[in-house]
Amino acid sequence: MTLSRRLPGSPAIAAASEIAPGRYPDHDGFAMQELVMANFLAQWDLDPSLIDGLLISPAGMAVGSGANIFVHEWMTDSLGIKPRYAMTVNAGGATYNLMAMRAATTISSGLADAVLCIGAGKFPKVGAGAGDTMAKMVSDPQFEYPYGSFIPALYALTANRHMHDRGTTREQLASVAVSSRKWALKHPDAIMGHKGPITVDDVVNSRPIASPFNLLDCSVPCEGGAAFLVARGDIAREITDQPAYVLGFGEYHDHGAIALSSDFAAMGAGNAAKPAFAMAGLQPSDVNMAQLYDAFSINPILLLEETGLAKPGEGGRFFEDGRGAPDGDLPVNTYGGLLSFGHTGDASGITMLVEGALQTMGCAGDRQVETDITLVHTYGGMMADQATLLLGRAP
Amino acid sequence: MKPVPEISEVTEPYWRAAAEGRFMLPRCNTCDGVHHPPRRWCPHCWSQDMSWAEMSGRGHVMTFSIVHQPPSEGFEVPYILAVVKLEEGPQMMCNIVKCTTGDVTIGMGVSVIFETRGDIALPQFKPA
Repeated sequence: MTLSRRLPGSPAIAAASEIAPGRYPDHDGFAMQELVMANFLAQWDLDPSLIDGLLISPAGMAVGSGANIFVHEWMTDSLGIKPRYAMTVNAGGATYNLMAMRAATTISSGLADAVLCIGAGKFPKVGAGAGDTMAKMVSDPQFEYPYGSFIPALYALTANRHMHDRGTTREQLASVAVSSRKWALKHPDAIMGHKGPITVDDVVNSRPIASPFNLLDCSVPCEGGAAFLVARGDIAREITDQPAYVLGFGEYHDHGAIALSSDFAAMGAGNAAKPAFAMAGLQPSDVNMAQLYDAFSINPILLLEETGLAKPGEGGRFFEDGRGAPDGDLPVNTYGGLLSFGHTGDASGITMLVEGALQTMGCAGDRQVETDITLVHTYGGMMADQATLLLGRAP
Repeated sequence: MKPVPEISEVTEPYWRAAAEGRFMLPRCNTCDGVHHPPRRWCPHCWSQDMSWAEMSGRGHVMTFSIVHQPPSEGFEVPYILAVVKLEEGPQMMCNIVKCTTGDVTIGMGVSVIFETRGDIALPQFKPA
């Protein structure tokens, strides 16, 4: 039996909600964050005196419009709270799993009891120089950017190496997008939810972007955001009958520039997942559902294999066989993924965490699937920052 | 025009050598490790005692992608974005040039070639 190192106080996600992904042209960074909070406060009846911690990320980094790196101070005033724990944090897509982890350890150490976590994101429209702006942001300015370090091509470096080393096929990549679309059809807010189902042929025959990716292998840029509350177990149970307990977590930071990646056939996610399972005293076979960050179709394949949910080289077959789709034995990205729900820029990493929490809490509406143990893995940068979170229905 | 790197104090010798047709990287005088991109200290052992050493210019393709949508106006598609592992150990991003897109493969041997871009020479790789 594995000895659990679970945290004292049983920290849990007690509340979570996300605004519909879309375009919010009249809302800049902070206005987006207030929109997110207005939605959250309307859905959850919370006493302001309960909140003694605040973690928030800058919104608007991707559009280069001067994201506010002191936004925790602005939100403190806006909410009328005087927290004993607060910070503006960023690790790209990994930000929100890391917020949940930081909140959990803070609660366990007694430095806060209820930490509000907030993310909102803007995303430039593709075309109009967006590809160039984003490439510049994520690349080494001297040693990557001059070579045309277009983001889909950077991810494609990993996809091609995985196909070469592990035998993953083009059709298997496409089947990830097909699976996500099936879930999106069940989510009322998913951007691609009204576009109907897609087939492997649809994906493979969509416009070529950067080999092996075609358009439908790429996530859909949009804007949005969410908030969630991590609270000590007893406080969480006063807010909701069924919180999502934080059972284990781990993180790993492999590189900055993707050219320096340790292994192009992998992302280093296993180095985050292993300590998460050890902390929780769980095995990959205990997991009922996975929410896996999917900027491109390759990522859920890599993450399934690296977190141990599929054997190396079997992640592609997993999706080809429909195992992550509705009625599959291990549902993956039950909200439609960034591929079909939408990629909300700075806030993208909060979406799969909110979905993992809502599913674990039994609050996922028509797309609800029974899950006792849910794995949420997000990453930031060019597959640089890895963060695994295990949520459960029991502490 | 395609982007031109903004050269810093630390990387100036790299670009100066490239302009002379030589591919130079810092080699650590303490641990003998070579690294890319050039840093103020050796990322292997943190020694700051380093010398510039000429590389063989040979390596192999670790991975690549054929880009069909240009990120900015200067780029003509399709082009090959790749990461090459140098014979001396470091890995670096580049374009594979003088190579049709159907011919590039993972593991393919490549050698350095310099692309003139504005006032600088950019190390690129071609089939060996």
